[in-house]
Amino acid sequence: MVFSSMLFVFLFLAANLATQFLIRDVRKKNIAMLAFSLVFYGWAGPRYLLLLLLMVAICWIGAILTERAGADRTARKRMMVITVAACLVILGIFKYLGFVLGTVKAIIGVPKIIPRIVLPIGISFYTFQLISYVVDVYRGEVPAQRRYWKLLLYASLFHQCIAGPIVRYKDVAEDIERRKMTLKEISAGITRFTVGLAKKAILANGCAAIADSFLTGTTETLAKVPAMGILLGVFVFTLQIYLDFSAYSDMAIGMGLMCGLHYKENFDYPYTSRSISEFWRRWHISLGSFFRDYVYIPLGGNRRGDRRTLINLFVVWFLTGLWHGASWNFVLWGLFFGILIALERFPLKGKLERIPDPLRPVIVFLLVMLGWILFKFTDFALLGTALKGLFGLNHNGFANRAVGLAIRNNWFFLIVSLLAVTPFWRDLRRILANLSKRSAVLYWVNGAWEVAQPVLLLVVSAMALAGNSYNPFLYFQF
Amino acid sequence: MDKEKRKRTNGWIRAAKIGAFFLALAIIAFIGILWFARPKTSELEKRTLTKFPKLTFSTFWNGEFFSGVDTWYADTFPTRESLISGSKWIESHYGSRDEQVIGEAIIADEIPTGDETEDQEPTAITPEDVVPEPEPEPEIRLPDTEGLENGTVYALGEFKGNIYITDNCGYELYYFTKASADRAAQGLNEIYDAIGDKVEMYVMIDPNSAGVMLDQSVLDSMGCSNERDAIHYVYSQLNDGIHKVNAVDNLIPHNAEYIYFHTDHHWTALGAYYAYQAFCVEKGVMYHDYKTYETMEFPGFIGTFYSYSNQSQALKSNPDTVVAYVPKGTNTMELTERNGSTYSWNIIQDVSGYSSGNLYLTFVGGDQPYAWAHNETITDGSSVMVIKDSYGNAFIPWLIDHYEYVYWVDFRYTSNTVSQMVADHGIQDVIFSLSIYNGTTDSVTSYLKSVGQ
Repeated sequence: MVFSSMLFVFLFLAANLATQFLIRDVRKKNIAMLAFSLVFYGWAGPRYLLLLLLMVAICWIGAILTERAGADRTARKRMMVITVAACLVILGIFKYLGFVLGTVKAIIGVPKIIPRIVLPIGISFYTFQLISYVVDVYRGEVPAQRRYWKLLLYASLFHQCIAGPIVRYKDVAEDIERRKMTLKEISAGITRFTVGLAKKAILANGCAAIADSFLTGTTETLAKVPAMGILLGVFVFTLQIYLDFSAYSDMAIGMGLMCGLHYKENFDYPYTSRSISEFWRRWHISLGSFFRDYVYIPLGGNRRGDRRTLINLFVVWFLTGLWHGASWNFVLWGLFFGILIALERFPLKGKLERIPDPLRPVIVFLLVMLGWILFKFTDFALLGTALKGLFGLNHNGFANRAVGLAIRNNWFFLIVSLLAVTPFWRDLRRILANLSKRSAVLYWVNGAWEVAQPVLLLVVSAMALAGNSYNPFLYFQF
Repeated sequence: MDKEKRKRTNGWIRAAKIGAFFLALAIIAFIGILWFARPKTSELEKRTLTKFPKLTFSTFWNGEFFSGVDTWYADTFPTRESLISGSKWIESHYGSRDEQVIGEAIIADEIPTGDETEDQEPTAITPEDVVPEPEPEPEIRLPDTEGLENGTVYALGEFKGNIYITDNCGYELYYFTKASADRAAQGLNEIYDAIGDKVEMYVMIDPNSAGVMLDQSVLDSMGCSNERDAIHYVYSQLNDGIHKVNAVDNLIPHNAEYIYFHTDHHWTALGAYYAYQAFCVEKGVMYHDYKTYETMEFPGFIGTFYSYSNQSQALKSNPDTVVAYVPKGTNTMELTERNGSTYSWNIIQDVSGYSSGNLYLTFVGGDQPYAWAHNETITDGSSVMVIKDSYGNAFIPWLIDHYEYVYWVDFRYTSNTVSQMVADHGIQDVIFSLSIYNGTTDSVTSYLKSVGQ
């Protein structure tokens, strides 16, 4: 099930919220929430549910045994490593076995047959959540959860189970045990959820239609797209991937708020960053902080000299790329950012400030756009064709009527989408809120808008979703 | 407003917001569970909507059942078409949409040249072009007839291109593929090998509005192919014994007239008339003047381009008028539906009161596997069989006043072979009326092969 489907919004979520509001006891709320979450996850096929139950069981037992080892640091570490390794082996089998064997086959010709393993939905997200839980128990930052079903609730919570944010157990443990639903948070959650829904149903899906008209097809069709078409396609795809992914996080955070669960922010307008390092502090924050806390810092971070820092950086960016998909283009994409960040850290350190301030976000945006081309095409022939096309090396001219018409037909939509990836709407809202403190008329206008906006966005999103029976989020593939 | 009062009012605003949101959610959720109000077909999209999936252990286990429920729920949501219309209205404000291309880029092959016809400018047919031939002696047979009922069907087999919209008119873009065109020609040649010694065989490839109305520079800018060149290429690959009806060259000079619908991929009866003129020239008989025919008019036609362009508002606000010319000899036909039922029907049916997307059904009862008409005002036993797609529907009425018996089959829905039908009815002339895609691509080669056996 996806958040941006009619069935989810108007049946599943409506029923889920009804139970959360009608049930007063937190334990019963949790049982209901677990039931909803298991149905949500099982919707993609109950067979995947068994794997989730198994991984939670492994981490549940592993964390309890880690904690029981008490002061014996070696035993604690051994138990933690075994549990994390078990999780990584399962992730490796389901996500990377085919990819590794395919690569080996390409080099040495064997094995002849590569098993086709279907990727269980959301496995990368919930595996990382469970790993963070086990490591946090090992570090003594959080007590081990004694009840299996509560850990299962944490891992399977439908708000964030299959596309993030990667929520740390310690961040929601208290909410799971004791939570209160307040009018203020329900109200904020409604706004956040409906903004996310509209962002996905209207803006992200609209961008997808434009980007796909230039960036899909075979190498032959792609080679026919002029440079301006590729550029427009990649530009719109850049908007789409942010709008799509941040919309999912908005909806997750919004639904959490409505139920008294608090998830951390996952995006902070990354396309306005002034350096690549800053971009990654503001893009998919929960993933970046996971790699920082559980890989980069344990490897020594930047405390063991420049050479080791460089190695640590590339390990992290190799893994970041690989996490996004079992394909070499994702590794390339990760390393592309690894190189850019290494350049910022070492040869360009202190020099970036010399670039005029307004120019820096533009340069970062263009580099990120280039990165999304690597991300978009898992097929290297298509990737090569697109990169050549971007620089006019496919010899098919600069632009054609289709490109001109795509811009003409969508100029207003593109401006709104571009503004949506910046803090423009948030700032406008704040300015209006401030002005309304001084003017009674503006106060009532603002109040009326506050009441009408979620309903308006819900109805408009329903309209957009009605014609799109299937529109999964981009990040579901991870 | 003091701070305390403002705080209280903020609380009320918040409560009103929560109340309004949950009321809206509850209303839409309630509409969603009204199972009896769920539509089964879509008038806009001209298709049967998704059915509730079958539950088996395998579909349950692999999740197909659940994804099917998801699709079914959204696809058959009550008020879905109103919701989509609302969404399309919003989309029409995304930018300037007086001109647009809908669909993904397709690659066209270069069309091989060499046929001298391509170098000539197309010219309109005049009565002097017609050289009459002596009429043959036909054999006459009649099928059975039964009662009458509406046989509405939707068929868009010839609709495959992208859509270009400009000045409130839709155009289906055409992309030539040589290998496919060769296979189409081969299929027609094989049919000729089977029946050529028994009948006169005519092939008429019908261009669409993009091929007749759009300037070559517009087509070039979108990488489309020249339909006239494509048709002449296929004709150049056909056996010499096959009559090639040069409809395209008689349509282009008339392209200032209302010969194609603006909201639909078909030609109008007037467009079909100019193709009929070309047929008469090829056959060597004098065509009738369309101005002498009684007409029926059906305004408010919003055709296939509307749904295929994601409900372009430009098209919706500029509907077509279907004008039909009633044959003089007879307006009665007998048809056999896909389920085998047979009915009497009108060649030009009064479709007033039909939905706005179905007015093209005025012509010969739409796409039926088999139908025929007997014109009792002609008693020479002459007969023709038209093997057609839906372009042929507007063309067939013009033949009624030239033959005593007119038979037609929609090759997409018939299982009978041409040679069998020719033998069964003692046919003298066989006309293949194929739209540009069916006449030059291999998407229907299998159909042509099956009817050619």
